[in-house]
Amino acid sequence: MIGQIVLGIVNGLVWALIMMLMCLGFNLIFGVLDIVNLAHGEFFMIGALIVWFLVGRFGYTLFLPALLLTVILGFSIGLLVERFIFRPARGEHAAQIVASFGLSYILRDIALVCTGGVAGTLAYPISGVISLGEFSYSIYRVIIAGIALILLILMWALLFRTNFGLLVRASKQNRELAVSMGVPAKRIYLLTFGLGIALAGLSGTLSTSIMAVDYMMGHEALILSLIIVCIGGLGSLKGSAIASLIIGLIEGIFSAFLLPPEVKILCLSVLVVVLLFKPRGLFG
Amino acid sequence: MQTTHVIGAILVVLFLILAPYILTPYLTYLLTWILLWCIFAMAYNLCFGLGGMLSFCHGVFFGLGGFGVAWSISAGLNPWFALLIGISLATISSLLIGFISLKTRKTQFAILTLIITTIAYDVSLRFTNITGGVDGITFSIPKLVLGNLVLPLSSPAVRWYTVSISFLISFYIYYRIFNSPFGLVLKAIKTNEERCRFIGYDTTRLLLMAFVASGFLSGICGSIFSLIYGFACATYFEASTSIYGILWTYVGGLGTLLGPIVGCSLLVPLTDYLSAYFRRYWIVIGALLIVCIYKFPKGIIGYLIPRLLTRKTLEVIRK
Repeated sequence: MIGQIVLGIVNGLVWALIMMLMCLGFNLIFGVLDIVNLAHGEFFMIGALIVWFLVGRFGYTLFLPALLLTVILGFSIGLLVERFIFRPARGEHAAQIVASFGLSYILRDIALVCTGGVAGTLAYPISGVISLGEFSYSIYRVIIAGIALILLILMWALLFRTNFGLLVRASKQNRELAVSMGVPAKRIYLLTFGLGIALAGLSGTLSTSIMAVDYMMGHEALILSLIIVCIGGLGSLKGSAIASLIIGLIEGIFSAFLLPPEVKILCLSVLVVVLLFKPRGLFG
Repeated sequence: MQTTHVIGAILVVLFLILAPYILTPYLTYLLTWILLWCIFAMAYNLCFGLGGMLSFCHGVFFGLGGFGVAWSISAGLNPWFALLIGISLATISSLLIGFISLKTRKTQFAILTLIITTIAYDVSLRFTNITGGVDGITFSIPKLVLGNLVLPLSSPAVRWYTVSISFLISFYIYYRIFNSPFGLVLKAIKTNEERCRFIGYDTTRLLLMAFVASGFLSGICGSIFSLIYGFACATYFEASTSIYGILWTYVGGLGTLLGPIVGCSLLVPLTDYLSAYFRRYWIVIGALLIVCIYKFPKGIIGYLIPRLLTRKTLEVIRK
């Protein structure tokens, strides 16, 4: 019983770190560019598919190159998507939501054609476990969590310790003022969008250690990250970090005792309770 | 009502009465199918076009309407009673979901309804003993009893008349809401909610009323669908049902009276053909969504009417 709960907590923490990357991407795009990107989950799926393809075919030596490829690919797809899907609908959320939903259907069906609709799992490269007394945990997942943590710290450093981050935060806080102070808004927007998409892809690549890879995984991840983002408050980076910890722990602990849909109902009821008292989310 | 409206209404009713005698069986079947989905399109337009609420959970109302009928027919109830149960199930669920979702607005509302509908779909797939999972529930199509008349719903003509009558009823409700002060206030709320609240309207209550009316119409559509085809399925819970609604209203003309009907009657046969020849037809639908939003944001009705009007005025000027 206690072992199960501890395992659940650790699993939940790993999952929370991965989802944090995804929500960070979503919230960066929403907060800085004022874009609601419901195709975010599909980029998560593309990241996972890249790893599944490269690692499944050529082995784990290609795991880091796959991460790199995801970043590059995500960045460049992100630039295209921003230019052709979202720029015509600047400021109109309803149009953005519908257009990005359309895009997600396109990407999902292309993925289905490419993969043939089989769900794939990857064997762990390292089968060892870390043992602490009677409790043991897979080393590979710890490594994945470490990578996620490093990426999060890098993102934090990028956003809060560099000039680029300063410009991004300035345009997030007050767009017009930032532009009038000489912030190169267009370049910042493009880079931020690419960064957000790349984050979704990265979190997808890391999720291959936990989830099965198939064409619907993006939608699942999207819904989970939307719950997190709504709890934390749309556009709030701190809120989504805290909310992903909450949701990750709930998922981790309760999935030992409940069926997956029941866990989801639990997450939804947390969201509903939060919204009843704070309609804008915890930090919105 | 203007005389043109009256004449138009009479012509439509005449067509609805005579259609099974004029049309080929296949066309009757297709038109039944289209008319049924028109109810859903109108329901969606009431919510999105009029009230500006981008909802992804209309599939839940449609599906619950269907399940209400399927469960009660399987329990051996009278079809009239089954219809009542199906429609009230859909209405109650829309009241519940609307109450929760309308704590938020616009973007967050859309996201929240998307979350709710996805989770409802997951849950319905898990409890296969109640919902039948992806396969759905099939039941033998009942006979409607009206006084001395016994109408088997499995016959195409009876199906046609059932759908036409429910279409007319739904259209009447929809028309009345559209042209009422309530509809006007909804349009005002869509344009600027803050000012409406400032004037003194309880906007949340009004939006909830529109949402429930929309859920009610979707419930009618879902329960009639289930009743005449003897089938209810959890896949209608998916967000893609609402995506169809969005597509139809956008193509026809968002927020116009006849827009959803035009969009629905054009796109339903199109998607049917497409899905028969191209299995991944959702790629086309996705592309259509993107193109429609950027190239024809006003839709067919919104695009045509100003052009027709200007041509007419030009002719008048020339004369």
